[in-house]
Amino acid sequence: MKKTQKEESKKMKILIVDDNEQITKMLTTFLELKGHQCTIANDGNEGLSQIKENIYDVILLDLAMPEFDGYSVIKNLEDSNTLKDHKIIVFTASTITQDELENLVKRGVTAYLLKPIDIDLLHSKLVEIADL
Amino acid sequence: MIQKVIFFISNNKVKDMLAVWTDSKAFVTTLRSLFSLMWKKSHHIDETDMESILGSEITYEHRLREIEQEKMILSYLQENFKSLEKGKK
Repeated sequence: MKKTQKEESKKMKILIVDDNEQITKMLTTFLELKGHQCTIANDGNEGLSQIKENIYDVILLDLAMPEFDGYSVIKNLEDSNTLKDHKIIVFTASTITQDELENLVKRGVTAYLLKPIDIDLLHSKLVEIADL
Repeated sequence: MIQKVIFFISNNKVKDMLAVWTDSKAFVTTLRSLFSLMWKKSHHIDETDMESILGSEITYEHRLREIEQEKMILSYLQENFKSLEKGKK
């Protein structure tokens, strides 16, 4: 895949909220090698604290996590009217319907990506959304 | 306000169900009190809570997709680690 000028230059601050430690570690390795700065939160509660305390160019949010899941993070931000202040990409392997995913976008989530996704495509999407 | 009730009764001996309808104020008030008592400790689950409960279910397919994603990132890193590291420098 050819790298665009934008992809080369844009260094992003990314938050990954996912309970799958293998994915978070490998994704962080990949994104850091691409020159980005990553923060990992392994559950929704930790993710929400990070979102409230820091500013991220883009947030990758898993939906299905034990106890405090991605839906709870979205609802919490929605309740405080701050959901649309963040660029949140729902990054999920959940078997939820297209309508449910579209509904999340209507509520204020920026985009959604379904696992498994090609890693180059994921990176392009991250760059594209961070630049919106 | 509830003004009428209809309820169904049956037992082991009688095969068919019997429906009883009444607008008796005493009966309606009694049944309403009984139901209020029964549901006193229940709590309302709104749509988003339900979505959260259902959404958290980890299915077999979900796990497979996660594994597939892990595999894809790992393969990419194995194939491109050196060039990515060079790019970083």
